[in-house]
Amino acid sequence: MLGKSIDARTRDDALEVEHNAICGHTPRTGFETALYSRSDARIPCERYSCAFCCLGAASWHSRGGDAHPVRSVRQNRWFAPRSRGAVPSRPTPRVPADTRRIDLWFTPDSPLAPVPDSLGLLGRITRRPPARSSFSTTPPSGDEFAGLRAEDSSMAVWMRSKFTIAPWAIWKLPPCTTTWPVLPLRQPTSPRWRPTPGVTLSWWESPVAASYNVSRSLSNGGPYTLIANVSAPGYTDTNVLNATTYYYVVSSVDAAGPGFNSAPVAATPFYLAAWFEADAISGLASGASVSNWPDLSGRGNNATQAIASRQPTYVTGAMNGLPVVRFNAAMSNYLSFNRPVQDDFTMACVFQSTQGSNSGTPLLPREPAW
Amino acid sequence: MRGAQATRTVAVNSSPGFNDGKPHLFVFERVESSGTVSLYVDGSLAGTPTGGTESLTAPSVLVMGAQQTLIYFLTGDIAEGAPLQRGPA
Repeated sequence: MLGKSIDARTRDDALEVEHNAICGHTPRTGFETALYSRSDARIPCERYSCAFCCLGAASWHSRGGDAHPVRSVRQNRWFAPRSRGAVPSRPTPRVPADTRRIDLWFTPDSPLAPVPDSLGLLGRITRRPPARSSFSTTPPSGDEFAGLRAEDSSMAVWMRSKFTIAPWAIWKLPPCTTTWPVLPLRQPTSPRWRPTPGVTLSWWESPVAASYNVSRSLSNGGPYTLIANVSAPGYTDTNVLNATTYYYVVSSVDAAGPGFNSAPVAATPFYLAAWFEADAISGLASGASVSNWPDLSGRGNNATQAIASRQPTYVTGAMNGLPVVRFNAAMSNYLSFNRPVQDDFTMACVFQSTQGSNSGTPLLPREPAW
Repeated sequence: MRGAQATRTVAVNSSPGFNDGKPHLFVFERVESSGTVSLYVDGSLAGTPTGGTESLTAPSVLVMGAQQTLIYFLTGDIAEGAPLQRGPA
C-alpha cells in the first residue's frame, strides 16, 4: 500500500533496521521497501542477513539494544517483522495457529520501477518441519502477505525480472517460543508412562542462529538468569522446584552475539502426587488379591482395600508382557486412596477393558459413598 | 471413557471403541483458572468442556476401579495410574 511506510516510522515500537557498516553492501538506489507485522508482540530477535552479502554476516541490525555499529542509509530501510509466538495447548502438540502477518509495501517515491525490467517480487517462506511455500507480489496492488505462520523460520524476497530471478533480501524470523507441559503422552504400545520432571521448552529454529540462550526468572519481566546455551531448539530445565512458576526467555546467538530475548513464557512444573505402577507390586503371585497398591511417588498415598471380597487381583503378563491390577465389576472390586490433588491437576491411566458402556453396576450391595 | 468434575458438574466423554481389550492411555486434566476440563485418549483430545472455576478440594478419597461414588465399577485391567498436581496442593 503506497505511503504506509510513513505511518510505520512513527510507531513508537517500530524497530527500524538499518544497514550495518560491517556489511558494506551498497543498497540498490531508488528502491525502498518496508516490512512490518501487524502483530502487537515485539520481535524477539532483530538480527538479519543480507542476501547480497554472506548469509549469517549479520549485515542487518536493529537500532537500539544492539551494540554493533550501524550506518544510516537513506535507501533500503527495513522495518522489522514483529511476531507473536503461539503457545500450543496442552498436553498434545498442535500446529500453532497463524499468528503472524507480514505486509510488504513500497513507498511512492521509490517504487520498484527503477529496477530494470522488474516484474515484481517473489517471496519464499521456510517452514519447519522443512517445507517451503512461495508467494508473489507485484506492487503496489499485491503488497500484502498474511500467510506467515508461527512455524516459519525464514523469509526471502526475490526480485523477478524478464530474464532472471535474483535474491533481494532474506530475513530470519524470530523463534516462536512455546512451552510444553510435563505430559509425555505416548501411545500405549508399552504401558509404562513416565512423567518427566522439569520444564520442557521448544521453539522454532532460526536459520542463521548458531545457538540459543535460555534464561529463567522467578518473576515475570525478569531479571533473567542465563541457564543454558543450546545449539538446537529445545531445552528441558530439570533444575526446578515442584509447583513453582518460572518465566523463560530465549534469544538466538550468532557470530555477532545474542539477539533480543523472546517474549517470556511461564511454566509451573507438575509433580507426581501419586504413582501406581502394577509392575512395582512385589510379593504377590499372579492371581493373588491386591490389598495395597503402593504409591511410588513417595507421598504415601497407597491405594488400599481392606475388604477381601472387593480386592482386585494381581495378574502377570497381562498387558504387553507386564503385570496389571485386574478389576471385576461383578465383585465390586476397587481400591481407594487419599485425594492427592486439588484445583489444577491431571489424571493419567493406562488400562485395557472389554466392558461395555454404562455397565459395571455391582451385584454386591453398595457401600456408602464418601 | 468419561471424565467429570464437580461442583458445577461438567462431563466429557470419548467416542466409543476403547473397550477392545487393547491397552489405552487416558489423561484427564482440569484447569482451575478457566474451568476447562479436557479428556485425552491415546493422545487425542476427546473434548474440552468448561466447568466452574471454584477450588476443588473434595472428596477426601479417590477410587480406582469405580466411579468415586462407587457406581459403574470397572471390569478391566489397570497397569498404571498417576495423578499430577499443578501448583500448590
